[in-house]
Amino acid sequence: MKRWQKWTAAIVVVAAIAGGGKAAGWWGKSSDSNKKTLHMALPTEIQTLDTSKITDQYSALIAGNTESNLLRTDAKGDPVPDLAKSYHVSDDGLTYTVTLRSGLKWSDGSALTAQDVVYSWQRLADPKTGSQYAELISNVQNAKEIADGQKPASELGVNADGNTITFHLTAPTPQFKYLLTFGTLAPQKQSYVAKQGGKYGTTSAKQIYSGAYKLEGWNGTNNEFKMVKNEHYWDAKNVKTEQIDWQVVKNPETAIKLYKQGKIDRASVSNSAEMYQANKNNKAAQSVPVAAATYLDYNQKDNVFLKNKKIRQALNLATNRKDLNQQATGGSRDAAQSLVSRGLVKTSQGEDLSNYVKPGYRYDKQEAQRLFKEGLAEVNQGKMKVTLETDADAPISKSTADYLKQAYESTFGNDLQITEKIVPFKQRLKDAQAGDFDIMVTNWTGDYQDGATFYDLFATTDSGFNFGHFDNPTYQAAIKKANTQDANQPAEREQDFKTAEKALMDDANINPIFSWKNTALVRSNVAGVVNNPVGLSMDLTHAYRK
Amino acid sequence: MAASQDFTLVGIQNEAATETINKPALTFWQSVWHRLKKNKLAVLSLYFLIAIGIFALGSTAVLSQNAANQFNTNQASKYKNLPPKSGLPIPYWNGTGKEAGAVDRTDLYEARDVSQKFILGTDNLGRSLAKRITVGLRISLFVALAATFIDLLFGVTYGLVSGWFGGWIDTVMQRIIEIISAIPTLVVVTLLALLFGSGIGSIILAIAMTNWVAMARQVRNQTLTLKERDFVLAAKTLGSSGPKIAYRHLVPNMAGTIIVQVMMTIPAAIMFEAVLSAINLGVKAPTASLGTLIADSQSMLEYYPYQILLPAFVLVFVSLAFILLGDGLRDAFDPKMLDE
Amino acid sequence: MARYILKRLLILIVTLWIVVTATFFLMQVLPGTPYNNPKLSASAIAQLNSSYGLDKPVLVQYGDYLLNLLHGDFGTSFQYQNQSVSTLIGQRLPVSAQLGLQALVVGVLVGLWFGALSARHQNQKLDGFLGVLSTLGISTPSFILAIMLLFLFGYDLGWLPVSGWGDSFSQTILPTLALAVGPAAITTRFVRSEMIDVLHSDYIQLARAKGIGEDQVIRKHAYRNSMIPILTLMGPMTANLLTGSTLVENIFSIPGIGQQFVSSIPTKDYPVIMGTTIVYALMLMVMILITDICTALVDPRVRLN
Repeated sequence: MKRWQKWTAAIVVVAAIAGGGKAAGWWGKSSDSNKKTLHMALPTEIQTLDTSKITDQYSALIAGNTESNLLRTDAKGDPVPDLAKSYHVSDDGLTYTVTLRSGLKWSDGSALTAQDVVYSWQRLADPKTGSQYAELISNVQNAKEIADGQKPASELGVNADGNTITFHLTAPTPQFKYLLTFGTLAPQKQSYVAKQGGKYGTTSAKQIYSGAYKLEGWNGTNNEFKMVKNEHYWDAKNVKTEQIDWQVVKNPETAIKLYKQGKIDRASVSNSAEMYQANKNNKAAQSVPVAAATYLDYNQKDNVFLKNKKIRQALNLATNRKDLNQQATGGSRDAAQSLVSRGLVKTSQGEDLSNYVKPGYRYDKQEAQRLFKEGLAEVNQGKMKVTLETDADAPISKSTADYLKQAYESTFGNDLQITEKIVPFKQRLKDAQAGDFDIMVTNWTGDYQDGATFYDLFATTDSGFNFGHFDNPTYQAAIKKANTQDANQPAEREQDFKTAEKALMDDANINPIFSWKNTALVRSNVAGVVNNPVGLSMDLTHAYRK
Repeated sequence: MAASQDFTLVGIQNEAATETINKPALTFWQSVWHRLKKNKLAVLSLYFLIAIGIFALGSTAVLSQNAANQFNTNQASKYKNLPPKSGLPIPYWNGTGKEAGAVDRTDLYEARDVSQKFILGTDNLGRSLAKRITVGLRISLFVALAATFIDLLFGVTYGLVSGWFGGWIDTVMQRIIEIISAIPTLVVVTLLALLFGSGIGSIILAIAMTNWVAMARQVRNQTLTLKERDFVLAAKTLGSSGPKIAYRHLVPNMAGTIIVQVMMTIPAAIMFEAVLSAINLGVKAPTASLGTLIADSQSMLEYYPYQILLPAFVLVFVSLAFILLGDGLRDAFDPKMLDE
Repeated sequence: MARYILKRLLILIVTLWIVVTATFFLMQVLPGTPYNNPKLSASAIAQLNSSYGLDKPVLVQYGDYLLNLLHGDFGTSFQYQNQSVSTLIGQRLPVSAQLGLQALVVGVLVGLWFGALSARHQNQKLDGFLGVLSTLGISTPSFILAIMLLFLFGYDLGWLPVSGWGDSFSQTILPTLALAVGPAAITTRFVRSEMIDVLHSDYIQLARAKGIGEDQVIRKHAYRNSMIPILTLMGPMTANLLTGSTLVENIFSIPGIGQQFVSSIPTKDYPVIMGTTIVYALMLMVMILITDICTALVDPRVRLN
């Protein structure tokens, strides 16, 4: 019995150890200190490599670095030719003509043609594909009809002729050139997609790459993979990095630890207020703007109190944005000065759009109290009781809601009672769309580098994202003008945006609170990384270790 | 060398004394208490739980939920993340701590010119942690007790019905239990919590709906044994109705089993509440339970560890006390220990 | 025996069907769409629904699902586009299984040792200490323990890797420990009480009376007879591990099935939620079945009917 026990124990222990110590070594692999290798972390798993079906920013990050589109945003934020040799926009802004470079190749060595570009756009537009971003290209001719199933995908207004691709639009679309930089709209090879069928993009081996790197070692669920230089990329000679190792690190604190242990070259510190404060003074900390904003939606359709302009103005005036940002986010975001986020895009004069349009939001407690009293008297329904809804997906949301509740209740005393409602993200979205809320903390992430990505939100009273269903004629007129008459006149368009921002503040239809940024610890010897506020958040094409 | 010098015959001094029975006659509950007292840990746990109970109940009078949620928005930066300060020169409990990112421990109360003493420190918005833990404890206990109460009502009834009627009713009811216990509790609880939305009520319901199974099983088994016993048969022959027998004879006779089961359900409920909080399905902010306090301060462990350790300790110790007391009670109810 | 197993398997299938049905209809009432993009317009959602067949009547969808399930097809994930749920689970399950098994083995071994130690020194200081320790182990949720271990050994002391899976055995130590404490505590308590019963039994008294040393008594007689009932613990311990692993996998970035379950909840990726639930239920039921059969095989007093 004694021996039997010992043997069992021994076998079990050995089996357990053998199971754990896989091929890579028993007690950890030695860190690859190769100069030409970068080490990066991803906060969530890759979900898919099927570019038409990517819905999350981290899969998009992988796609953006492994697939190339016609254009690519450079360090200054301007779209410059990538697969394209040149591009031309017609005077009416309705036709884009792009010429491809010659001799382009996929990572498998086959030729990359204009037809691959056309196919990718058709595939996105085709409702059979089931892409969630088909609406992105709704300004392309026939895109809407194709989505509705009235026309086949081949009717899409994107045509190839030899080395040239022509895009026909239904309306001038100033942001269109940015779509040509998106990894999610990168070319796809029809014969390859057909060959892989339902398995297309489910592992790194079931995709071919047109970008600076090709992905290897991703089996669909594993948390470690790598990017290897793609020798068939047209600009391969300027790609200095041979390999980028990736690992999925879900816990943001862990990522920081790995950075400090020298195991990864970059770690975000924006997850919580404390994390940000602990690391913001680190020499390696770098902030980049993110095209996202947080604002309060006021339900102006159903809530009798929030219908009152004075009450809304009072709430806006009682919002100490700077302090709120400091307390709730620890400074990991910026206090909002406009609906549009900071650092999104520069105006024709080279000024940051947000600085140009900012209407002058301020904090004034006395004024707020006065307006609130007047407003309450006008409504004449007694004490104001409202809910404040937010989702619980980030530590920052909860403290934001806690702070706002406390700030408003202490400013307006017994006249106001706020109940917090913290729900899962999907629930909040459902409530928002159903108009089932009073005040809601909404996060909006822009889709492209143009003010319209924010201003179109409230283009009409019933547009999908005007959750508060407010009607602001001045605002709506200004945005309409910007989208039509001034579409090809940048300076006038910016003026329209400014008018709209002012109208939004005067009527206090929403309450902008944060403009987002991302702060990360970045290894000082890694250079050439391009961070975009929208689209590809981290472009490693020309990144290298010094 | 006479043996009589080494030993004396004591004999029976007083014949009458041998006739008296020394052990006082104890009622069932007295004897349980008598046996429980021998288990020092269980008694300690009992006193601890009584103290916690009184503290939680008593605190409702002095400390409202709102008071624990409120903070001064204008001075949040002055009061936030203050370490625990006892007012005594106890290391790590004297108001010194590291600001996030700082290297040295400093007296943060002095640095920020705070004259108040927060014995358990403050959270990231400057709210007293002592107050929040008190309210959190109250809510966690309430959730656990309410869920357990539902378990008790439903589980006991279910078990009684199943055991008493037997036959196909029993078979069907046992199959239902088998099915329910085949789904991992976490899955059931998350799905139910998602379905009912967040809020204390739905959490209670979600926890209760998974925990009653164990109770129902125990009660059924007891019923099966008890219903063959003479006193039940007698009551039956005398024409007592089913519910009456259940109420008069069955339940009192299985009180021990039920109480022990309750003692095991409460900590399970407390812990499940914490797990729910960890996947963002906990009680609504700004009010926090112990679980949400722990889950929300996960990101603080690196910077302000006391914010997560304190509520975690409270949760663990309350659960511990319930389990220890449950153990003690089980032994005390155990007929095998009757003669001790 | 064969009939018994057959009957149990039949019940298992029926149970599984009920689980599938219940989860399926539960999914229908949860809020939101399974699409990740929050910016979809109503018409776009309608188009997507029709391209994924979600516009069909619920009963038809249910029928389709069951039919596919019979072919071992759990459907396609919404979150992990194109990825079949069976592949996702198939690749992640071994990871979770390894973690769970390691935890179970470590936990049970430690539990056996502590339990025996406790029983031998019944009512002595060591017994009291181990008793409190094991109760403490039961009262600490594994995710709290995981966080503490991560910070102590991973961050502060830096002895062990803090995340990942598959590179080295050392990566598995912290999550295994976090998960092993529960089974260890349960086993300790169980073995202790079983062993005390056994030690008081007549045949042990006889063995002692024969003059066999206490060591021998425990090793030769007590251990064996008190180990059999531990089999009955396998079911509940597996259930416990499943719950714990979901959160622990998330904390240590382990690509297991639990992590996937947690991440599929907020996105309402219901093919994945359902697939995971089915696999969980199946694992639990099979574990209970195996336990029952083993118990019957080992212990002649338990008769199968």
